[in-house]
Amino acid sequence: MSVYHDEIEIEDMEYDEEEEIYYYPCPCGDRFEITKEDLQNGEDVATCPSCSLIIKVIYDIDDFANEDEEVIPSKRELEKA
Amino acid sequence: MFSWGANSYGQLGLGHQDDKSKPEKILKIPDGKIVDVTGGGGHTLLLTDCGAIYSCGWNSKGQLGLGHTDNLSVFKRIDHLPPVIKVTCGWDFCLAITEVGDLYAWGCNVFGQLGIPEIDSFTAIPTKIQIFSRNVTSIAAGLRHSLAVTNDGKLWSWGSARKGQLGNDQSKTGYQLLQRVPKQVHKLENISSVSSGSYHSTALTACGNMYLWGSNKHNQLTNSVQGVVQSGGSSKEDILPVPTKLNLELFGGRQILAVHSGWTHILAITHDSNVFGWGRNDYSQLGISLTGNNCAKKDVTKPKELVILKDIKQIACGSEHNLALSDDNKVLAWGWNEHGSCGNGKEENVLTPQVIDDLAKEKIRLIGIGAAHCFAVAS
Repeated sequence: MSVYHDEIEIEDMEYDEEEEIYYYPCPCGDRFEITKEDLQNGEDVATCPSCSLIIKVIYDIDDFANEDEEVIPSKRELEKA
Repeated sequence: MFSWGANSYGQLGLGHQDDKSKPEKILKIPDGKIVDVTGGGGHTLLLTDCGAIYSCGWNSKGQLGLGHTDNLSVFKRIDHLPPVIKVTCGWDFCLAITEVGDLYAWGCNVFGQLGIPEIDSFTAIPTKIQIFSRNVTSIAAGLRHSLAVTNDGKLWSWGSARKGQLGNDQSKTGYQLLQRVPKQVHKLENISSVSSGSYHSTALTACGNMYLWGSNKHNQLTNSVQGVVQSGGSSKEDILPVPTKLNLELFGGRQILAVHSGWTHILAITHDSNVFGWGRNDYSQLGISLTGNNCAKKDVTKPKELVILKDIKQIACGSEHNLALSDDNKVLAWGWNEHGSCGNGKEENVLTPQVIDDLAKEKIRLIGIGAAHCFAVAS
């Protein structure tokens, strides 16, 4: 299935720092997931382990170009707010 | 009691984690009469007439309220909570109104959706939101935000604010990502009930007017509302930051009796029991066949009557599918069906409301729904 269920900004995904995976709710009740490494490699399709739906992740690959942890925005910015 | 649909975390309460495309009888059900069943992404809450809550399913954020984070595939009672009269679930959190009108919250708090700033990322223990005291009458929870109505008809919101779903005009306060404390939504009065989708919210007044706000990405606020702006960030989604009254002429001048929200679609019941739907329809969430229309974008941009639905006494919206209970106790389902959420034993989407045959002989008196998991309670 090549139609995206949704296009989601990286800021709306939840980042697990231990697993280095970004997650987003899937309508089936499970979660779409994509690894930080995939994003660094230019991959932008997050998949759900429980169903066929996929989402396109909207992000700037320059933010993931090197290993500097400071560029990972998600949780830190949220907690500041 | 029967359950079917997605079951990745044991949310069907059947003692296993296999999806069920047809209703299966739940063998272990609580004592007492079940008065409400509702679910979040992967968890379920069950309310009995003595005010007890039972939970099962996904528990990674303590959303089962049991003091731990182990998933459960059978219902277990939540202890240490005063008698409850109303429950609702967000994606991975829960809200409950007690008999005396206090409000409790538990589960994920990463976006401030519990309304208790002292709690860090989550709590597995139902905790009272101190700002409310014996005055909460209605609640709703989206993916990451919460709404409550108090007995003076005022509306309160908290949690994620990124898509305008809290209804607080941010032109004065500056753009906020989230709000950890419940705040009153100004200018809204005489509110009787609320509903919320993934990133939109609705409020109904005592006299049948309807207000909408938040994300309008799939026309879930209709294309007739004024004041839509573009969100921050790169995706530039259409959002309506301020609660806006919907023109009742869209419903032929009828008053609205009840509103139910899926993730990005809305079903409204009018005072004369007609059902209208609008918003996202690419999985036939609205039960309206759009043959011949542009297939690339299948939003329904203004309320459209589901003429097939007559004499309906209850409606429940999942993420991308719905259930309805008819006056003669039949359960109908339509929309996204990959996990068997429509209960017909198949995986193809159900284009228009269809009776679930396997429940036809049961006298169903109550339906309940989570993201893609479903429940029916027999008399």
